[in-house]
Amino acid sequence: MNNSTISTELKSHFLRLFQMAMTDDEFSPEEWKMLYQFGEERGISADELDKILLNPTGDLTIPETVEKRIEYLYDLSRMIWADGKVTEDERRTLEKYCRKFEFLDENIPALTEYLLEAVKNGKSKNEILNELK
Amino acid sequence: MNILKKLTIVKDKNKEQNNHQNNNIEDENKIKQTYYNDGYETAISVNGDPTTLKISLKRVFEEYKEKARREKERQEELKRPYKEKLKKQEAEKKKRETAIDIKKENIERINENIDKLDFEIADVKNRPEKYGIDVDKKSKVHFYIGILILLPLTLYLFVFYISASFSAFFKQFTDDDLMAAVFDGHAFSKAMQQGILEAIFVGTIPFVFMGLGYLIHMFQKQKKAGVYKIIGLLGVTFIFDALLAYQIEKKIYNFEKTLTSPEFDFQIAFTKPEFWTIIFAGFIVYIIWGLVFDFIMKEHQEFDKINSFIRSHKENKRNLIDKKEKINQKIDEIKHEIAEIDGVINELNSKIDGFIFEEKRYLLLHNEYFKGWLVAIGERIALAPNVKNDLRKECLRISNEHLESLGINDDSYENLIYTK
Repeated sequence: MNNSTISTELKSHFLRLFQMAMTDDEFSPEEWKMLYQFGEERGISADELDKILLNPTGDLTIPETVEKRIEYLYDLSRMIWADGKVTEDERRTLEKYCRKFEFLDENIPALTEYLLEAVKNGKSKNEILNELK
Repeated sequence: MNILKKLTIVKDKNKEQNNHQNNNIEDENKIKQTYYNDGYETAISVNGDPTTLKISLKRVFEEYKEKARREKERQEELKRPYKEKLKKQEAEKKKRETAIDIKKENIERINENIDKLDFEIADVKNRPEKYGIDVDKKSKVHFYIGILILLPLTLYLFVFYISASFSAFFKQFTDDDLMAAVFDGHAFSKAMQQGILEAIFVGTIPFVFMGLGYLIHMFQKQKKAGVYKIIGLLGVTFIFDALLAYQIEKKIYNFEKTLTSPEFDFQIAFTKPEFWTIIFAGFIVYIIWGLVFDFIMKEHQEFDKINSFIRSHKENKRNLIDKKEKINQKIDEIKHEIAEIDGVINELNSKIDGFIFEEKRYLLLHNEYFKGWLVAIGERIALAPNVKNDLRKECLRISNEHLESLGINDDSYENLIYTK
């Protein structure tokens, strides 16, 4: 995935997730670094990532509705699949975000798997959101 | 319920709250009552004596302070905002340290690239084929041989076209000149004699042909369109040459013609050897000039490949050095920010390690104690009303003096922090 293919929405979702990681004790600086490089490799400019890294992070709330939370997680899954593979670090990061979004602990691995599989099989965001209705 | 719905059940957070609040209010009322009673009892025992009040207020203050120092839970509560601030500042510091790490890794990558460029700049001359540069070692020799041929050819073209254009456009044929109709060694000086514009005209005409030759070379770089343009240019040059030859031949013919001779035309021109001589002496040499020129340009490109490789590598290196410089400046800025954050962290740590004195709460309890004191004077001390009033006023003065000495008044909202 390169600059031209990453949509503005995808980018803004990722940047917000990146920002959330800054306010969460669950995420270590090593993981921030991983997310930074992950974003950079997928066409987000270093300037935009620096802006988040070098500006004070205010109080960030997680998205209110389940639909919105799934949208964010789906977009992150899309970015993970952008290079055609899912690394262990990427899977763990996605799990952390699922946990951060307050889904039940016992469902986290299955939800992560579900999202990654959905993207892999080309399921669209709307199809997933329809399943939630 | 479908799978996704099951998977997206969120935790119920409300369960984990409530229970903690009501007890505090009761405790606070008990404490207030204790202070009130203490003031009341002490006042009775010393008959409301202002000097004793002064000492008692100091005792109350010291006791309160000591007790507050020991109230760990309450201290924790008071320190919570500072701890939260500290946590945020530490996160900000970590973010910046991460940014520095990322930027240092960038610099390392840039340094590796610069080293690679340096190596390739030095290595390309020895092993050009490794970098995809196919250099023919004979190209330099070919280039100089080409130059050696091109220079006399250029000179020839100058002489020829100056002469031919002068003959075609300005020359008046006389008997003597007839032999030199095709080539006139004095063409330029004769043109000068006729006027400066004539001299410029014949002097610059060779450039037109060389310009056409140069264009042929340039058009070769284009693919299909280039071929048509080259054919067009060759045609134009040939026609121009033919017109020059025709013009000269016409002048010779007109000079020699008799009354019965027909009018000069192309048919006649084609039968004249001078006509073809002029064309071949000009056009064929022009073709040769163009081919040689094209050849030396190609040879030059060939041995210039290495130089252009080095030039582009040096340019890349300069860009990388600029980039590195900018990143280093950014790192300095971030380090400066970290130093500022460290200052804030130290300040917060000393507050957290110290003890927080709640002025407002102390004032409240002080007032309870004093209220008890005054009530006792009113209810339990037997004195004349005016003496009681004087005593109350004196006690009030003592109380205010005590608060002033501590820097506390009714507007006090801030907590006093005793740092370690």
